[in-house]
Amino acid sequence: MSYIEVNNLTIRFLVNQRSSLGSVLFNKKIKRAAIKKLSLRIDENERVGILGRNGSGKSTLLKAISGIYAPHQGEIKVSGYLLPLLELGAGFDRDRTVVENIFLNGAILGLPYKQVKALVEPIIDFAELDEHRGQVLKDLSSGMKRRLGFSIAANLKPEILILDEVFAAGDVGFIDKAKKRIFEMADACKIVVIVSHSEEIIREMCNRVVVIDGGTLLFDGSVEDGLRYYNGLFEPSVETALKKVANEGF
Amino acid sequence: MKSSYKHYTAKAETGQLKGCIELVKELYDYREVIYRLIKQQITHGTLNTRLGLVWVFLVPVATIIIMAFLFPLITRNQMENYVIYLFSGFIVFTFILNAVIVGSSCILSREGLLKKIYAPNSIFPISYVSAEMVSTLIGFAVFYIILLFKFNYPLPNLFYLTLSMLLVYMFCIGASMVVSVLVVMVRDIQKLLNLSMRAFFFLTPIFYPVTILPHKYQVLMEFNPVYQYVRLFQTVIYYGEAPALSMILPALGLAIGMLMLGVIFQYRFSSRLIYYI
Repeated sequence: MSYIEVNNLTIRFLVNQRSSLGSVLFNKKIKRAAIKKLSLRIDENERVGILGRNGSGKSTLLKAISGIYAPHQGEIKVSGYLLPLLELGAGFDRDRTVVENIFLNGAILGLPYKQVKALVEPIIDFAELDEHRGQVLKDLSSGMKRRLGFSIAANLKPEILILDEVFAAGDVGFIDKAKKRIFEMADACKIVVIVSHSEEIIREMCNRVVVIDGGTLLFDGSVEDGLRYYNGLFEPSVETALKKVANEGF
Repeated sequence: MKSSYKHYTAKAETGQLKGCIELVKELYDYREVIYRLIKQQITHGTLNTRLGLVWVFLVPVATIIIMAFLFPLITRNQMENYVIYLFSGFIVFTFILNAVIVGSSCILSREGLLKKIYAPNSIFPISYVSAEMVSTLIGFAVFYIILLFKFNYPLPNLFYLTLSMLLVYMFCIGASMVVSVLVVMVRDIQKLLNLSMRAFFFLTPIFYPVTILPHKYQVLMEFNPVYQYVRLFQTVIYYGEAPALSMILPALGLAIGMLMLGVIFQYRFSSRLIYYI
């Protein structure tokens, strides 16, 4: 059975702080909590959308679940083969060819050699990079690189899928194809966790929404309630902005 | 497929020893990645050059030629076959130097990857040092081809050469595992390493024989870890002798100790490292 369990998780970052002359001589780092005592349990067949403002800790939470950030407090349990798609083409080597990068990326994502070998053709095919297979990545356009990154990910079969807004890949024709593939992939997964600012995607893919702000869990419930709550987060700041304008002028 | 249950905690549940064994097991799971990284690293410096892989062979050839012509001019050394003496120490020193200096930044330079996807940090020092090992072996091969043509010099005992290579390889992996972690935590250490390796080049009898030192300093040389390996190669290649047990044992002990220290360092700091990168 697949599940994700986050108990009382705290993650602190070390932040460089340079403000005065003294810190030029001796660099100081201060601690800043990105996630504060957050608990969350996700079970099979749940598709969870994580919403939150910039810097609220959404990505950090996903990275912690993916095993990149170790907890400072609390614990995380993950049962099931997890595939994190936090950034397309993480670990690509600009100086290597398309095929070489498929092998390296596949290996890093935990696939045995034989499986990667069998996947090379479907990946190149899906990315529409057949003419470019022998070229090095830095000679490809950024759209092509994203397409390749997406295709590698899209040909894997995880049980748990972690997505961080990776939809904007390639040209318009490819976005439709990519979206379709992501939906197919998500349908086959037992658990999907996704960070997105797009209400449309959240509505289409999720059956549960979690709202995070300042590293703590503010809301956990249905999609519509969650989206309403999330949009409500911005209202006070609009009010203060208007007040500021009223007081100070433009 | 990687193991499908993961448990991340703030404090390690397992003991030190068990944790280290887990790390070694994990590295075995990542052998495919390590193999890919080694392959990449070997050709890394030559990718955008016209001559490409030819450079891998050209560099040791050029190094030997430079040494053969220049060093006899600047040192008043009356040693017989001085170039062979010089090269046998120099090639080991270069290996250790690279493992410590370049190896120290091999985790740091993978920031882009490590912040996006999970991978055990120690695959980077291991693959880097292994690639350097391959370059060193190519260097030796080129050296012997030149020896066969140019000098009438006996070939070294292959068993002892392999043993020496293995020992220095273990030592370098351990050293690189230790320094690559330390440098991430405290960047200043990179500067210190640069300075100290410079000192080691002169403190180690590489371009001079140990016998020109006064006796009391020769004894001190026993505590120079770089010399332990340099001496091994000088004995096997230049003197063409089997190294005495008193030479092999310290090198072996140092290699095992360094490797263990490396694994312990990597295990102890592996989960915290990402916050310092």
